Amino acid sequence: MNWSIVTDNAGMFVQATGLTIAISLATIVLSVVIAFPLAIMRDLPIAPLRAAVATYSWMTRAVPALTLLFLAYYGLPQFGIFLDPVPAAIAGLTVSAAGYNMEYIRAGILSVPATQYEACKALGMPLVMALRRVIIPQAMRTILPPLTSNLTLLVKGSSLASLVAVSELTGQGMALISFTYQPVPILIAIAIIYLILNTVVVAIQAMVERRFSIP
Amino acid sequence: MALPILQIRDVTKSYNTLQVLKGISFDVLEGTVLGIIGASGSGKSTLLRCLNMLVPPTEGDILYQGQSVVSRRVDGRDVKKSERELLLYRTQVSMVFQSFNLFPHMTALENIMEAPVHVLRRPRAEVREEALALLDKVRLSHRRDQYPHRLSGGEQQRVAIARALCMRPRVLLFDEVTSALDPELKGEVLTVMRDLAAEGMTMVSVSHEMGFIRNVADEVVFMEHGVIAEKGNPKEVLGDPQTPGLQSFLKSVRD
Amino acid sequence: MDVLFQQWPRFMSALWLTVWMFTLVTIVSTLIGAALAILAERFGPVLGVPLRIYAWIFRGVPELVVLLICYLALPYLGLDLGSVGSAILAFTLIGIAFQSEIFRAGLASVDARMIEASRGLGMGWWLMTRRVIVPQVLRVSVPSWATFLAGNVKAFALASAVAVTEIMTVTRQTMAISKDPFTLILFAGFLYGAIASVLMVLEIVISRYLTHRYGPANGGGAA
Repeated sequence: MNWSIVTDNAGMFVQATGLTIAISLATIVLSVVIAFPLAIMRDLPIAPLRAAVATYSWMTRAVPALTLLFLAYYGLPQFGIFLDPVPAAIAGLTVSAAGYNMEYIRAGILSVPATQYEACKALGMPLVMALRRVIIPQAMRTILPPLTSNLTLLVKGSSLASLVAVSELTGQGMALISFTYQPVPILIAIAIIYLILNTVVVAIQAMVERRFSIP
Repeated sequence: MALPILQIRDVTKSYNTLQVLKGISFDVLEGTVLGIIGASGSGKSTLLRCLNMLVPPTEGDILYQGQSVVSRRVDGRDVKKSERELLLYRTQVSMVFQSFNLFPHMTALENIMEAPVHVLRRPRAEVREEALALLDKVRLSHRRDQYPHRLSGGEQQRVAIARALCMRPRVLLFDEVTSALDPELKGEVLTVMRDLAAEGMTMVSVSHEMGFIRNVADEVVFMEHGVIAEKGNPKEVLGDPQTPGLQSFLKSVRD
Repeated sequence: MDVLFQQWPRFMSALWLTVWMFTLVTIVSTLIGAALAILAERFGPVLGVPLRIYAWIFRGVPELVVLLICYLALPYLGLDLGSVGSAILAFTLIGIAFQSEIFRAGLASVDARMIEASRGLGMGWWLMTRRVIVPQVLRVSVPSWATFLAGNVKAFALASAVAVTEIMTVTRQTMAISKDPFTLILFAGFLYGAIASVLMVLEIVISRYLTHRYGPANGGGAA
């Protein structure tokens, strides 16, 4: 096992890991931000809106993320939209993740008992205020576990970007392998890095869940 | 001479084919306590929820201080009031629920302060002072930073009453507020209600507590199958029931 | 679009390849994953800890990387399975990791009082497992299992990265000679989506049936 391949190229690994982290973070933030309004739209009393959001949710959960990335990178140029690899990857991953996130958020909101809405009404609270100050804070306890698990998946998902020409960790790794013909140390190093990233995300997940729990 | 603060006129409520309220009319005089009793299914909870328009009546009218809260006149037509218009009304006619319905993610003090600060937009410092005074009044000052899940049922209900009171309502509605409590905890809540009545608060209470009704209420209404079967002074109505319905109801409650 | 019609046979054989790979991986990983979870329960931490470590690794490393390890690294260590073989191995290893976690959680959800009652009635371990624990576990795990499968189908698209002629590969090759890559990719997505949708519907149907027959997953008697 020739570990010098890894150590010699440490700088490149660090850079590639940085890009992986950047892509993951961007996807995490964007997919959650998009998912909240979608989740609320899903249960509004406007039928076409509900149908549209429900269709979006189903499709993004049934279609592979890779397909969405390909659509963003290879398909959009047909319509005159030329995205660079990184934005295309982020777009594809975000659209894919938002569908799942929306379902988790929705389940959390639906889990808040109707009596809480009643109490807010009886105190004269308008619906938007009730959602913001009473319903969603409670919903977070149900939303967070599946939502944060999904977000750890996004770290793994960032590896798909390598298939649309992004030089993140997996992409760089593949390039280095074809250059040096030393797949074993390189792939083991890559696997270990992803596991470390995962551990960090899980630790952050635990911290966030604790912040939202009630002492 | 006390004026009617709430007037209920021929209120009916139907859910599809099921008619729960079949023409209810009565007045609530300011500063008095009205008790509503009846078997389950008699419509008493629905009636209470009509009073603060959580449930709008199918037909009939409800007047608060002489003005209808069900609809308003627009160009000669009656237009049903929207949820937004009703929000203000509900800050003046507050409700306390059977299952307390405290906000689990806020402390007792925060629960009480929430609506006055954010709905009535009163200054926070002033609301905090009032909230602390109310906690003192319901004898829960020592629990003010506790979260609901750490409070007993009786304590939670007393916080709920303080929460409703902090809105400075003109009328307080109580929906079987002691029914979900263990017997030894009911007393502390009933004591608070008795003190409120003595201070002149207008109260409408749906209740099974005959002792409370007999001693504290100024008037009692007995409901049966969606209509008012008997009405009057508690000592007379409960002491000498005229209808067979009330007679058997009182017997079942006593047992 | 005529490119699509031209290449239709290739898409169909790619679809078939995806379907049977997926079926094989599902069956093997479910059986092994469930068995490992049960054995870990029986034999305690000796088996349990290595299993948890295995699961942590294969759930934490991206599927693409596992694929590359099987396809590129294993031959160097003497095991060359070719592209389809590597893909099947990779997805099976990952599948076992997820399934063992799903069933471990299912087993953990069995109320200890149920076990107490069974033992109090004189049931041996095997009898208890068969008649009391497994039905409970299925009730809790099957929805998660079905959901995982529905999501897993889509991962097979990655097999295209190691030269397996499944749907995505055929799509890429066809894109090169087509003027309408968007529609092609959409079509590929639709093919996967169809398979995944079937599984998603299956999951909903199963969950509803189980709830109807046996009550909600965590409700019922013991409350």
